[in-house]
Amino acid sequence: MGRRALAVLVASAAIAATAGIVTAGPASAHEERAALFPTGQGHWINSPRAYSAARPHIVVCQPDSAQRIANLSDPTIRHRNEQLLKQCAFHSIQLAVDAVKKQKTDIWLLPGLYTEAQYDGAPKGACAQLKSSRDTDFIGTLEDPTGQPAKTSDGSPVALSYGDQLRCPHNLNLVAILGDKTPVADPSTQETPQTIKCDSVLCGVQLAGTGQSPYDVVLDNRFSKLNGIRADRVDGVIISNFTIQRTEFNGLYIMESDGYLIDHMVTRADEEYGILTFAGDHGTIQNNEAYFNGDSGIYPGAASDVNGDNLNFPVTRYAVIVRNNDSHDNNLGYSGTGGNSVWVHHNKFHHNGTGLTTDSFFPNHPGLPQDHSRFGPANEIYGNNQNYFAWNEFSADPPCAKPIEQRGYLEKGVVCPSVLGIVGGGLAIAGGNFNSVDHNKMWDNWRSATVQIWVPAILRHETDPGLAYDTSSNNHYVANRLGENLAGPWRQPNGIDFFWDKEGAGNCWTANTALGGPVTNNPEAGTLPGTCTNQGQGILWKGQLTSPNNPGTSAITDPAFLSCSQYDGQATAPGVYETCAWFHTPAQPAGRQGPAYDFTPYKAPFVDPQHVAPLKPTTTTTKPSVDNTGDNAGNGLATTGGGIGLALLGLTAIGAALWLRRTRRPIA
Amino acid sequence: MSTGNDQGRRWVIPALVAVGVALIVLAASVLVLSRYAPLTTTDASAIDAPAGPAVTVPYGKTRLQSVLYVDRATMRYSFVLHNKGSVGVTVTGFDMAHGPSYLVRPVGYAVGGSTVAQAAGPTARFHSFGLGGGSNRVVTVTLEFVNCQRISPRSGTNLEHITVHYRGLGLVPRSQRVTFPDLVRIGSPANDNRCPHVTAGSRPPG
Repeated sequence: MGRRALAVLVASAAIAATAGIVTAGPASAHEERAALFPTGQGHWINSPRAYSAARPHIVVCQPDSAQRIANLSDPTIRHRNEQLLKQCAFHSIQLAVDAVKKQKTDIWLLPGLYTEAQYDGAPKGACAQLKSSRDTDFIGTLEDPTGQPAKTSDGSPVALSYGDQLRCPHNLNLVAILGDKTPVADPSTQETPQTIKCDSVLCGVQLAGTGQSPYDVVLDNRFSKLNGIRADRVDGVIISNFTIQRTEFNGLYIMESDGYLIDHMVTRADEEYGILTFAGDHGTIQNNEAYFNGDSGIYPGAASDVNGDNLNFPVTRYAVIVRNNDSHDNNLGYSGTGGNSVWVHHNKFHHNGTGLTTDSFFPNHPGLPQDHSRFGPANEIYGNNQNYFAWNEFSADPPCAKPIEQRGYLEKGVVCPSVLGIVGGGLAIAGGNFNSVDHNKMWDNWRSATVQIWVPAILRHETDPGLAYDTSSNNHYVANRLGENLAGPWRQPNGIDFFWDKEGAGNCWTANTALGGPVTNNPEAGTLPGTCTNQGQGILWKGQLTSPNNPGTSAITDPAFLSCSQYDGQATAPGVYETCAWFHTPAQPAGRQGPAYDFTPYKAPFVDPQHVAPLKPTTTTTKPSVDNTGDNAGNGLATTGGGIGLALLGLTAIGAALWLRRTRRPIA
Repeated sequence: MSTGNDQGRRWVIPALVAVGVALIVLAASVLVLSRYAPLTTTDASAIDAPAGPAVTVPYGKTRLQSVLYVDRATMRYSFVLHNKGSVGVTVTGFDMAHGPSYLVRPVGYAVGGSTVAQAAGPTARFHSFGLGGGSNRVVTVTLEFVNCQRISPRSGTNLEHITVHYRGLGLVPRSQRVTFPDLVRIGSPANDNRCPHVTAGSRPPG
């Protein structure tokens, strides 16, 4: 190697190392206060409310709404908007929320680009003095404003109590809708399902865009706050027909609410979730589109555990319904830690890293272990092979190492996975019970259409050894159609159709069919059980069924789960990416027909000044950069390099001797 | 007629051949030695953790031991180092992975007797020790819980290996990565009572 080349290499290495040090890590988000399920007294809401002059309503518009309304092509919708424009009273969604006087008020959002700029700054006054509490139920108690400043000065606590949300609604949220006006005042007192009820004028409030499409009304958070809209303890809330984009945590966040509807929304370019509902009941999430979200497009996690005591397969009722949604180009199309009693049907989950996951892996979600959800009928789960880990986290110049506003979420379709996923996975149940996966179409998922793995209870910090095997039982996979792309039809097989680690009791696979061949599964699992029973199988222990059959020792060798579970974005420890098989794109299945799979990132519509606001000059909130160059993965071990070098030296010496012998002059 | 230079070059060729052969022999020895990995562990282990005993479950072929994180507290993990070779070695030190991406930081190593019951006490300090062929010594690693403020509660750290530095035949310094008998799992805590001083800006969500 020439001196110049060596110098270039050294310089490049130095630049790379320096870049690794100075580039910012991903922006951060937050945890949450301990959550409670509502009492379950709420009601289902099937559709948004139509306009009625007789019902209390507030109209919100932007200065250019008239022009945007004039551009609407549908004359009926245009006329209705023109009439509403005459009633416009606010330019701010939050001000309209604050002006609500009666329950079930409709807030009509006229076409426009909303940024709520007056709420997107740093907390001030007492709200800047919040500090973390050591109490796990009420974290972030407001400090006495006259007292000493908080010890931590780099932001709000990770989880605010509801009381603090009420006092400081914009610490974490661009728009806050807080329905419980009488929370427990004493932070040391435990709340109960009875104390968290909605009792304000905001109960039943509706926020609805009035455009032809959800893109006509855009709430652009510009990465300024964790949440675009937070609806907390707002029973009966309806969110409909607009777009929320560019948040550090959730586009739309609904928590501890009983009876809610999310309809015809677009949620895009969020570091975590497009739609997140938590500890909710009687929730309906329908007709939405979600893309470019780092965790999942739709997350009905910790849903009310209405079947928690049900030890049989049939459900008593569902807590959340997810239907007719299109969730694509996310890390996960759908996820639900503790996604209990959720009915997911007639959706499309495609071109994500993983189509859907539901799990019992992550601690502190009420209602674990996950149970009694139904995935089907008529979900289309296909082409979930986007490898955002390789492209955006572990590439040579990873976009996710840049500050959040420079990554190009909307412009380039960048997705930064905030949690592990299974590239090429259609639907994964990681520690769930009594789930039904039935009557779906699943094709072109290059690793596996479904994955079911046991998750030891200790990983969610459940230390009772009797509950170690309380997940991965009584799941039914019935009458799914595999490997058939409906558009052709073309044969587009999954890598395999079903993966099972053999853990758990009462699981079954029956009446599934595949185009052009047999249904396939991982060979280690052998022939999958085909008998389904409604009665839960297992051993009863403290109200839970645990698996008697495979006490861990027969589980198929770790399919990467444990090593992958160390994933932490740009802070991931060295070697994890290389050893995690799930982060590497599987090979295209043999016999695939039809057009070639297109890995090109989705080109989002409406990425223009009419729909995307300029970023604030100082919006960057970045996590302290993680300098992995300091990681010590263990000293290097003796290699064979020294030996090879010595051997080369020896051969060189002998070669030199031969050369000298051949070229020496004859001796007289 | 030969010159003085020719006389000198008479020595050069056999010398080069001899050096070459010697280097090749040495290379072969190094290659053999580089593959010589006499150290391993037995199945025995023990964990002394601050938030109660570790929970043990078999996970496939792995024995999973899960430990609850308590910020700035320490845990002790003891295992039996075994020399399966016929030649004794002198163990001179240990290394474990650490840095900002890990939830633990090794703060001490100590050596006890030949069984886990004879693990070194908490105040013991490391000293080089001989490990004869076929013999065992208990090694205790003391680890401090760190970095939960920056590591997502959906992530964790798996401890699977330790690097052992030793001298073979009392001469050649070598290192070998030894696999623990367990996969010790530490999850990043999900709430603030075991991880104080977390802020909205310090770590990804959970």
